[in-house]
Amino acid sequence: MTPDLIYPAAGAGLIGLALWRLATCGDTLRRIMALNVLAVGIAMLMLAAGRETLMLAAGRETSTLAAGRDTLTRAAGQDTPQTAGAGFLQAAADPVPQAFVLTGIVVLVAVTAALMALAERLGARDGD
Amino acid sequence: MSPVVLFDAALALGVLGCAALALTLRDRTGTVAAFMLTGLLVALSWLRLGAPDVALAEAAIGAGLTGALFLRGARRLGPLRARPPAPAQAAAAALGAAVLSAALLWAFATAPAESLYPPRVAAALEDSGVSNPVTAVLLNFRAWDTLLEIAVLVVALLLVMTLSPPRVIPDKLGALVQPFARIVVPVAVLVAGHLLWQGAEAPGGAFQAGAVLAGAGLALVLGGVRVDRRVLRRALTALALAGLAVFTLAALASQAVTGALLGYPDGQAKAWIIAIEGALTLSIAATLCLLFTGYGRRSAR
Repeated sequence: MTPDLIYPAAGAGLIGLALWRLATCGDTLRRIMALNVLAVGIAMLMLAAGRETLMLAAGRETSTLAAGRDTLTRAAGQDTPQTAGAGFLQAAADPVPQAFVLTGIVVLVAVTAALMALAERLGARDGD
Repeated sequence: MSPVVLFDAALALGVLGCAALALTLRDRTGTVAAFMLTGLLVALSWLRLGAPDVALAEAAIGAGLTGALFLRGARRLGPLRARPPAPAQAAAAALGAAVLSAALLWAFATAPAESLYPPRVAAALEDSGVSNPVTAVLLNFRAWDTLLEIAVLVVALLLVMTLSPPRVIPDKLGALVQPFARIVVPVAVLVAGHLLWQGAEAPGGAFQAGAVLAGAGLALVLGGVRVDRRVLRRALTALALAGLAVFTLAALASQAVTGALLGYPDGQAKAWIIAIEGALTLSIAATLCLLFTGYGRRSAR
């Protein structure tokens, strides 16, 4: 398996795991948790899809976006972000999927809170 | 195999393993702990995927606040009682999920690699008022999405208000809680302000800042600040609703000034974005706090 496929494989694995659990477990809290894991898996696929060329080789700044950001930070009088440790840090991922995933995280915590409130209400009725 | 690839592989395995634990352990506290660990590892992998903005939000919201919600629920729902499914059902579900996973991976591996957005975002970045492309997308190019997202938060808050789950009244946690809160809360406020301000040019922004601030709020609640005071609760609710109000007003005002919904006037984009983000930070923090502490008159631990 090529290194590029590590995160997509993990994302697909998380999606499968969450779907399996959603289909086989009747416990409310666990299903809400599975929904969260499902969202993480989807986010991982989206971000991996938006990832630009691997920056494994130091200083290979190919993307327009990274170059543009570089110019801006330099204009702002700061050090260029990716001179040191470029072997480990990668070029920025596509900002549009990043924004989607960020939106998704916030929406998901709202959904989780609402579902937990519903589940606790149901649990309280069962307990009576 | 280079060390970076090894690190990626170990991280991916760790995420999968922790998620599997979170979804299979029978002990409630154990599942929540595994879930929060998954969130932190996932935040690390967002960093590896070049998405530090998302990593910040995931660590604060995905691991922190969601974990707190699950812990509250674990306490209230009691131990796991669900029966294991019939073997045939489990096998069929496993097969279906595995086929879907494989299909997704295959689709991903065979899809064309080039992405359309980065050049466009880079081209328009100069006019957006900020230099962090993610903030530019969230608050300028696709600000409409963000407005609707805040609306979703308000809807969730209304639902929680209607259901009025019992309020969180924490147990006495011991002598160190208040000193802890005295250090953590001011630091969190400073960090939130920093994240909000630097969101214009570096990873950060209203969501991350709001989540950190909400974490400070939870530390206060757990430290014994009573959120059941009616005045405090009303003030928080007003603050929570104010974000949507400010954002909507800004959208209408920009429509009146420039003729485009959320199209900011030339040269003033940064001021508009900072103003909206400031309101959103406080509003998101208040909303997340209220979603955790609940509204009900009854109280429970």
